[in-house]
Amino acid sequence: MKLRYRFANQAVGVFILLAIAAAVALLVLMGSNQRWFRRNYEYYALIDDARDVSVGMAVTFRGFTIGRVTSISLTAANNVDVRFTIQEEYIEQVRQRSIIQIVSSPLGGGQIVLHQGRAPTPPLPEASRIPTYDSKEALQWRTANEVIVLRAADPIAQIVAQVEPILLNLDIVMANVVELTDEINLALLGQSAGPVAGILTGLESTVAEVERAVARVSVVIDSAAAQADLVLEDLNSITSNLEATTAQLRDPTGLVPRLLDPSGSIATLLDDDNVLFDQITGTVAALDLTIAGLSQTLDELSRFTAYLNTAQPQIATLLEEGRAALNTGQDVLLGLRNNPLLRGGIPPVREQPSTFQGIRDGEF
Amino acid sequence: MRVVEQIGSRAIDRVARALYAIGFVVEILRQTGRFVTNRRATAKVLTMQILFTGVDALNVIATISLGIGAVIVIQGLSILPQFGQGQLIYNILIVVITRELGPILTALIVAARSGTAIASDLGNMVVSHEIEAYTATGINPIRHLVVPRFIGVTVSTFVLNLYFNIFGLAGSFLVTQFVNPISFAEYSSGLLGTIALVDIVSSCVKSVVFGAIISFVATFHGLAIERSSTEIPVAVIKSVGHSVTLLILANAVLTLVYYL
Repeated sequence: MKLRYRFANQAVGVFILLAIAAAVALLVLMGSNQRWFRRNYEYYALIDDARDVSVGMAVTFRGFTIGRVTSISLTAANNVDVRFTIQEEYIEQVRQRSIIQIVSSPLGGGQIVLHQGRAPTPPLPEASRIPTYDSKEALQWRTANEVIVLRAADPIAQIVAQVEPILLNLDIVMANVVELTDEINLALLGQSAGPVAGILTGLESTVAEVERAVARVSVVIDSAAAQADLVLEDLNSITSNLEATTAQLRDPTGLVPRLLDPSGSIATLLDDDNVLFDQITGTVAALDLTIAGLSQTLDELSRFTAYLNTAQPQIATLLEEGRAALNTGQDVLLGLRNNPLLRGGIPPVREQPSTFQGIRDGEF
Repeated sequence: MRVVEQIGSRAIDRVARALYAIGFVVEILRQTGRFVTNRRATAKVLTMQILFTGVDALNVIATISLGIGAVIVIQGLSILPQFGQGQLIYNILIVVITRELGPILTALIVAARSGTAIASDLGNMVVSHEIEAYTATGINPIRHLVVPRFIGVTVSTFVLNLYFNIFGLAGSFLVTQFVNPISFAEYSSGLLGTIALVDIVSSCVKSVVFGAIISFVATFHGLAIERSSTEIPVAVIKSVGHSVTLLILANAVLTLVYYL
């Protein structure tokens, strides 16, 4: 009998036992490695979109896998509820003010990165919500430097993480530009109630008021000129009268004796039924009217200047927003132009050696 | 009218054969239950079946699984790290070796080696009237000839699948040492952290089902020979062809069940 047939039972026994032992060892190692008998702490996060997460996705901290996503569900408020566990030995890393970041790769294999709170605190209680990287609270904490944010390790994820906000900003800028254009169009058509329309309407009414004020000023100036002519005529007549009076005062037989005469000019002047007094009063009234017109014009100008001062910040803000939008657009275009994934890389430049050689460069 | 008659006749014949096959399988399962309680008479047949099907096929299985593990690692490590996805090599190893190729390749090797042997062996016994002799002496040929082969092939396929996994995953580690040397602790940690219990269960279920299919088909075709030795090669060819077809269909169904 052949040896293998004589020891067939032993060979089969070893064959089966070794396989079973290997299978048991594998199961034990799996249980140990996958922590079947260790405790996990569950937390959750609310995100907007479930496309970048999946059940079983790793939760990492400084490159170490510290947990797994266990479930994803849609809440009544249309948020995506992502439940994940943190392993017992890493629970101390989940400090207060910790946040999570979902890092997805276009080639698959995304992960949730835990960014630890900066201040050493006791761990977050189990079943707490951990804010996501882009949430308002996380933004505040990051701005206040209360979170330790590390750079993503995956270069593609980094590029995607950089491109995505740029595209988002570009979308926002384009939307703002379109909105601004529409607003300006509507404002120019007089169909808008926005700030630009208010400014333009204010400018239009201001121009109309300025025109009216200018018209009023010209009317006042014309009136004042007419009054001034009358006053000058009166002054001329007064001057000529004074000259005649002076001449007569010089004459010893002239004015003085006649003035002193009971039927002379002074008596006549004092008894002229207020003709001269009325003339003086009329001149003064015309001057008052002229001054009042000038004062009204100056008030109008003052109001117009004040209105321009109040409208100045709005105009300045509008110009600043436009300039910022153009700068962002320029940055995006530069980024797209420099992105080798989109443009096929930087073309190699072949250097053309110069055929000209100076006498000094020549070798002897 | 004659064509319709022929079609009807063939359909009835097919249904009858299918019903006969189902009855054959049920009878094997019924006799297997009895074999477990009283196996003294045929224990040696079972041992020899495992020896021929399992132990003797171990070198073939080990060589193939080592080679496949090596190829997966070489291909994976040359492509995946370029995209920063080197960790995916463990997922690929588990999907390919444990979940898919392990059970199906093992089953194909067993079908090619042992399925043909069983079909021709039983066919020869029919031709040489040994089956009639068993029946004449009151021995149930299903219990004494078919059941040990059924259990032996099923157990052997299951165990060979375990060895395929062991050698496949170990072989990939050995090749990793040449391509991208890493410590065994790191490799085993990555592998054990990725493999899931459901992967192992799926692999084991597949290997048991495949082993049963191979033994059912081989014994069925072996005992289907009627009188001539020239029928034996035909039965062997049919055994292999039907086994491969059923194995691939069963693999598709079980994989579908896994993902449901």
